[in-house]
Amino acid sequence: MSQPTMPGDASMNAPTGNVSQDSAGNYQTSRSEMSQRVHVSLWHCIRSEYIKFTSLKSTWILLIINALLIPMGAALAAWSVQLAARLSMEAEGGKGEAMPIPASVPWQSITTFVTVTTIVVGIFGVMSITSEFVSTSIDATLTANPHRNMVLGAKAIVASVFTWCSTQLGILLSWTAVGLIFRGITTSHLKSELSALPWVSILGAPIVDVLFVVMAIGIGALCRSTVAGVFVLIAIDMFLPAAVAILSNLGNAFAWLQTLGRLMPLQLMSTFLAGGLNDVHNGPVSGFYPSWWQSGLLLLVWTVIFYICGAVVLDRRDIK
Amino acid sequence: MITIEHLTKIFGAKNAIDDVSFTAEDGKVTGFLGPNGAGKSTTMRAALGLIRPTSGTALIDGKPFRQMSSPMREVGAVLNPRSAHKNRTARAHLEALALSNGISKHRVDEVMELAGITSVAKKKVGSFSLGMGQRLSIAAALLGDPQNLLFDEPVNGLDPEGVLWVRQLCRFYASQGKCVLLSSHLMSEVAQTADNLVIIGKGHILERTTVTQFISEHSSHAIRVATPEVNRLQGLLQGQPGVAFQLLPSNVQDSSGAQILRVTGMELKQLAQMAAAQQIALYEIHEEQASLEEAYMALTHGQEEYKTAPLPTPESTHYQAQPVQPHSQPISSAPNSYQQPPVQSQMPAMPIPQHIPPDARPSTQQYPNEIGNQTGNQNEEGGAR
Repeated sequence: MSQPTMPGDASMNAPTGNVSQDSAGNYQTSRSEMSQRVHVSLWHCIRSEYIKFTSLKSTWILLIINALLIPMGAALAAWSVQLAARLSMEAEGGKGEAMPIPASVPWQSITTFVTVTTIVVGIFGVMSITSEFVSTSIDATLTANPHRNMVLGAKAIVASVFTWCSTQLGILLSWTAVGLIFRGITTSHLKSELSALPWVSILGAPIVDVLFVVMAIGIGALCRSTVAGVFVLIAIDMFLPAAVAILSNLGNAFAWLQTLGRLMPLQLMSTFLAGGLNDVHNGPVSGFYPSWWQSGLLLLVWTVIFYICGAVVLDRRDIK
Repeated sequence: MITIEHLTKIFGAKNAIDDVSFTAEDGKVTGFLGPNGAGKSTTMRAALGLIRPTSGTALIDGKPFRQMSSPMREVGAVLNPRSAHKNRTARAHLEALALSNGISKHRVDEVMELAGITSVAKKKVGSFSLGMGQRLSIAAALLGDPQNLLFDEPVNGLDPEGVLWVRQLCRFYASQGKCVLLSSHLMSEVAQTADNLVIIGKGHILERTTVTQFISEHSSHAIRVATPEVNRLQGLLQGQPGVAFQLLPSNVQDSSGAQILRVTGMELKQLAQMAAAQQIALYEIHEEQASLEEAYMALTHGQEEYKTAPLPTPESTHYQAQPVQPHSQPISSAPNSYQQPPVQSQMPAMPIPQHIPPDARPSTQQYPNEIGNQTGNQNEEGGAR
C-alpha cells in the first residue's frame, strides 16, 4: 500500500486538460489550489441548484406562465366588475353617478388567479425534485453531495426565491392592470377591519405561493415520480376538497367535514388572500372557521408536514 | 482506500449482496468482477451511501461517504452514463456539480478538455451517445481531483480510443497513490488495467486475489510443441517420470502443417533441450496458459443471475443455406482501397508520472494521449497481463 500523501504534493497532481509544467517539470493542477476551499455547504449547494434551475427551459416556462396568468386573471376579474358597474349605470339611464365599488374589490381582483396558478407553482415544485429521479441525475447529485437534506433544503430555497419573484412580478402586473381598468371609477373607503388586505394582496400572495412550492417539493420527494407527484398535488388541490364538500352535505353526521373542508390547503389560501373579508362577511358558522391569519399559519403547517415527510423519506430511502 | 466489511443488502426477498468484504488499496487498481446482477453496482452504491446496507459497513478512507465534508475531493464516482438531465447542457451539468463543492468553473473546463467533450459543452446531454454520456460522467468524477475513484462499468459504450483512455486514466490515478475500484463484467477489460481482483457472483465474494496470482493459479502450464517428427518426440517423452502428452487432433495444426503435441509435467526449457539433443525439429514451442477469461468463466460458472438459452445448432434450424452472391468487386481489392485513418485523439496528453525515468517513458508522439506509466507498469509488473 502506498504512503498517504499531503494535499498539494506533486505526486497527487491530477491529469488535467491544460496541464502546465513549471520549471522543475512538475505538473500544476487545481488540486493544491482548491484543497482548502473544496467542501460542501448550504451556500455552495444553493449556487449549484441555481445553475440547475436556470439551465432548464421548463423552469422559465412555468415561472413565466405563473407571472402572466396572475395579471390575466386579475384583469378579467376587474373588467367584469367594471362592466357590471357600467351596465348598472346604463340601466339607470346614465343619469345618476355610478355606485362606488367597495375598496376591497380592486385588492381582491389582484389575487383572483393566485389560487388557480398554484397548480403551475406546484408542478414547478414537484418537478424540481422528481426530475432528478426521472433523469437519474440524482446519482450524480448525491455523489457530489451526499447530505440529502442539504440538497433538498437548497432546492426549496432556490425554488422559493424563483417562485417569490415570479408571483411578485405577476402581482405587480396585476396591480397595474387593475389600476388601469378601475381608472375613473369611484371606490369607497376601505373598512378598518380590512386594513391588512392591501398588504396581503401585495406581499401575502407571493408568501402563500412560496409555501405551496415548498409543500410541492415535499410531495415530490415523497413520490419521486413526476406523474405521481402532480397527481397527489391535484388530488390535494381539487379532488379532496370536492369530495369533502360533497360528503359534508350528506347529513348532520358529516357536518364536521365542513370544518375539514376549510382546512384544505387551497381553501386556506383563499381565506388568507381574502385578508379578513370572509371573516367580516360570514355570520355565525358551524365548526371552526379560521381567520385570514390563522389560515396562513395552517397553510404553513401543511407545508411543514409535507416537507418533513419528504425530507425523511429522501434521507432514508435507497436510491436504486 | 475503500474498505467494505461484511456488507449485506436485502431487497425484499432478494439477497443482493451477502457478507461482502474486501479492501481496495491506495496505489492499486482493484478490478471488481462479476456477471450481470452479481452485486457489483449494489456494493458500489452502498459504498457511496446511495443505498443503506442491511448490515455491514462501507468506509472510504476510514469514513462513511455520507459523513464527508468534501465528497468530491474524496471520491469520484461513475455509476451511470446517463446521469445528467437530458435537457441540460454538459457544461451546466458539470458546473452545477462543481459548485456544490465550491469547485471553480475553471476546473470544469479542465475536465471537459481531459474527457474530450469541450466541443459539445453547450450541447444538451439528451443528444449525447452512450459513449459521450460516459465521458461526461467520467469528467464529473474527476472534478474534485479525488483520492478514490469508483468506476462502475466505465467503458460501456466507449469507442476503442475511449476504452484505452479509461485504462490509462485508471493506471495514472493508481500511479499517483490513489485508490481505483473498477467494476466490470469483462475479465479481458479488467485484466489489462487491474492489479488486484475481487470476483463476485450471486452476491458472494468468490475470490480475492491479484491478477498475476489469478493467472498463475488457474493456468494449466502445458507446453504446445509443433513438430514434423511427432513420433520421435513421443518416443522421447515416453517413460519420462511425471510427463504426460497428448497429440492434438489433426485439424489443430500449425501453419506449416506440423502436428501439435500437448505436453504437461515438464518445463519448457527442459523439453527444448531434450529435443535439441535428439536433433528433433521443432517448428514452434510455447507455454500454454489458460486465458484469464477462461479461468473467470470457470470460476463464475453457475453464478450467473441471468442465464441465456442455448442458440439453436445449424442442424436444428429450418433455415437453408443461401448461395453466396458474387461480389461486384473482388474482395481482395477491398483492403487496398481502404486506408486506415490515423488515430487523432481529441483528448490531451496525460502527464507522465515523475518517478518514471525519461529513457523508460514510451514515445507519445505517435499516440498523443498515451500515458507513459501504463506501459511502464505493465512491463515492470510482469508480462502476464
